[in-house]
Amino acid sequence: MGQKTQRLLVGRRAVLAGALAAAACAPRGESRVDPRRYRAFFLWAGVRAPDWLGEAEEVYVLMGEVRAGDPDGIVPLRPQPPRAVRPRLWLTLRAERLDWGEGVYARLLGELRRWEALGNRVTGLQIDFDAATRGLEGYAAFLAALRRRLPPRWRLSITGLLDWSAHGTVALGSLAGVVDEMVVQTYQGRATIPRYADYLARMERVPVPWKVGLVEGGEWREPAGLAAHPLFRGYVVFLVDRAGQQ
Amino acid sequence: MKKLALLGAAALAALAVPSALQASADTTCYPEWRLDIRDLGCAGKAAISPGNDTRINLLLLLRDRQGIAAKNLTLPKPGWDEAGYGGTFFDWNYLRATFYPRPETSGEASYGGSRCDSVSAAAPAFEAALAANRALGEGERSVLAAARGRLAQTCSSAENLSPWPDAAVTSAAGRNFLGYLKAADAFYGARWDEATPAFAALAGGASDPWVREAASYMVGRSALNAAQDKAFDEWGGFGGPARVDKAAATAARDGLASYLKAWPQGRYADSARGLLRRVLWLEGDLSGLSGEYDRLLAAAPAGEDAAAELIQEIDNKFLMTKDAARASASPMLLATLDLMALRSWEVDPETGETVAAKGTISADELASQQAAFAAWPELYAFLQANHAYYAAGDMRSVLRLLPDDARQKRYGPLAFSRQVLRGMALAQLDDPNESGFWRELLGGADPLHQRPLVELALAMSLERDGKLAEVFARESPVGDTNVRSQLLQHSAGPDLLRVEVGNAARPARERDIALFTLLYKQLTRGRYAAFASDMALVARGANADAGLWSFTNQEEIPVGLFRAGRVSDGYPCPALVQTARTLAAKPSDVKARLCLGDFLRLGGFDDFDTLDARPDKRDLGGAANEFPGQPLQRAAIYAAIMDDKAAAPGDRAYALYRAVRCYAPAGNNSCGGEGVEQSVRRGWFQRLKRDYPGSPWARKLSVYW
Repeated sequence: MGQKTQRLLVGRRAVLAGALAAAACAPRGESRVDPRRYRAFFLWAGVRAPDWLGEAEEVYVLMGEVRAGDPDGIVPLRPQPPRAVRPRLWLTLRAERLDWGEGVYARLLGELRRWEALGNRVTGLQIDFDAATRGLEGYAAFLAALRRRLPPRWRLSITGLLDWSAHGTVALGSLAGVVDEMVVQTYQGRATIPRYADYLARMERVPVPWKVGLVEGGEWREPAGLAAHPLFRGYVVFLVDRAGQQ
Repeated sequence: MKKLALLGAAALAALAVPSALQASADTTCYPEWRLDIRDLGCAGKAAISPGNDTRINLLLLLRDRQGIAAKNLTLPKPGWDEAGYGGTFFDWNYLRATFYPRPETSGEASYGGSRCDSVSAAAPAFEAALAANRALGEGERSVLAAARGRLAQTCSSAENLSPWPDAAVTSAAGRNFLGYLKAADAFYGARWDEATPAFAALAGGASDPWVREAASYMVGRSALNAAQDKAFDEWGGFGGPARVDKAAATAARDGLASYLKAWPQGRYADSARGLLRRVLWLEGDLSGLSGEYDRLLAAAPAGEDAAAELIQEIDNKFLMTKDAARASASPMLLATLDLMALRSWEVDPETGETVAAKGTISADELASQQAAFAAWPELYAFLQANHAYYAAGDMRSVLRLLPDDARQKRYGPLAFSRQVLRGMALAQLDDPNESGFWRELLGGADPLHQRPLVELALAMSLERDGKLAEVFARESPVGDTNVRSQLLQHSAGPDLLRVEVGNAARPARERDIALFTLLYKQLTRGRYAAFASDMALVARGANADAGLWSFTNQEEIPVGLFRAGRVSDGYPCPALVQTARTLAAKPSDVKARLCLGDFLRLGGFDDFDTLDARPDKRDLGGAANEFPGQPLQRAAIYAAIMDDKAAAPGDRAYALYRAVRCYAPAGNNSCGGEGVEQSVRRGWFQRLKRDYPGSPWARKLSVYW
């Protein structure tokens, strides 16, 4: 990997500004991701939901994060829980570390129940953890243990880095039967990742149903054969805040 | 009561911000190995600059202003994210953990940062107030203490609430406390119209001093909750100032102000000030916020983590807001915003589109800010120089604005940043004294973050000038192992690599990188005799199974792969060193070439291009490449042998078999080179079946891809 990924710099915090930049630097003729043509979305912290989001089929809503400095607490990132009637919801938790204390598990299950009690149709839990490829084995073990704690009515999803498919296939193999899906991000920083088609082709080796995460306004051209892949489950569009950067 | 005060501010929810705002998974993140970075990347550096995270720039400015040196600090153990950063690079979390090492905290918030988090935290204060009031009977005290339990019930559910002990509380003082509990119950139950007037009545009329003070504070807090009650959309996000109840916000402001007026040192004063800030934010009062943040920054203890917490809030609630620059008169905030406005991309607020450089701050705009920096001219000149460097590309102006000051004994963050920018301009101008400048700057650079950055600059300068050997010379000041390792992987030739393998003064990992690079490149650039003799450098028991996933950052470098790696999974091959010797004697040897291909395939080198791909020309390691030859592609071996009439039929069959398998399992080429169309692959498959029907390789293959 090395250089391949070194080019793909620009990290997490740049996603908002960067993602919008993608719209400007996509070459003519490339198609841009128009969210109205999709049915599933990521709603991140600080991004104002568009009016039509309530009509979506499925929304992944960031609830909070487990920070590097505190393995026993969840820092909430959403002032209030959602109260959405129609879409199926995933509660997304960002994690900077995985050695969670009991407090995190209790809080997490409590939030899932709370969201449900408010009338939301909660599909399950999604974990967003940026494991480097060589950290994947520990991640797989963590997820297996998390799955055992999660009541069976909720499903378990993870976000995935595109380069996992190239370098982490051994560890990803052990996720079969543990996670119900993986949403693979095709974007980072300022643009859709170049060569995403190559990476996605390698998803062939990953035995877990997967979706492709796109960024609103980003460049996207569906690679040939993607839609026909037996484990491909569609797209999730990461919404960006068009109203400004509140 | 500090705890409660803090909780009070947080409890209104959402002062918490994402530690990675707008965060999302992407690919594994690596820093760019150069100084000149205009846009936000994975990692920041000790030189204040447009490409740094705004939080990092603001923290460096604050520490500069308060004269906090990075003394006696060490780098924390890097996590996945920070592997390979060394001291040169850091992200916000890593920098924060470096500056403010702290024991891990334990989360106590059980209501998700909502107002209910103060229910249990505030219990001791209530009990202390009961104990302090002599007018209460013992029985009343215990009844009231127990009655407070209802607040937790209200926060958990609205069912099966304990009844109020109206009959058991008869004294006037007891009625004060019971009234307070009822008002608090309305507050936690989100019945603001009931809570706010009830607190107001107690603040004016209660005889107990604690009840009076707490109720006075709660008037504003309750009104604030009312103000934001409808401000969140169905997704739980803030809907903007337009959705805030303005009358309630005004009442909150007045209530909190009157509490602070009556109890300026009160037990809830910190919390009340935090809540006042939240009122400003809810109302979208940017200039009010700017003034408040300026005041807080001036008072912030830059040597403590509270400063980082404040900066985190400023970033989230102010810096990222449209029009923040227009509202700001504070030099620190304005400088941070100006640097951000020097990035290449920005969002057009009208269309939501992002445009190149259009939003870049102009020299005129910068000139109009001069008065704001009157007390801090060094910062202003630094901003002008950044504009000259990044926006105008006028390097001579950079030199004029930032005079040479490279011989100081130590540098605060700003003075250091000024000199680094000057050095970068010297580099752009190909100044003959660029490397001399960096050498001088090393003398005063702080060892933790500043020195590695200057070493990077010096190494890049020497690399560009064709003086790679000076970087590795015995007296070289470049000791940063990440910098040296980058050059070893991408720039060094065989002789230099061999010398570094034997350099006992260097860490084992760095020497392993040198040896792995040496062997890999000898082997894949056709230098077989040299490979065979360099194999003697591999230590007994060298690691062979660490993998190649993250070569640049991984702790163990699998040098032993070349000795103990698999060489065969069907096609018979000798030890790799024997294969190399055969190739040294006869480079065209068919069996040995097929064996070399198998070693590369079985060792996982198909997915490994770290040592073959060239870094960006602007990056460390991108300017020089002293290792001769071009990397071998496995595909080329098979293409040559399948058509080689002199090759044994079995070997031609194996070449065809391997060439077809290059495209398993999904039609993607894993053997390097340009790749061929599927029709060509079909041709190979048919040739294998037709021309070598008795070959085991033909029998093993029933499909092509």
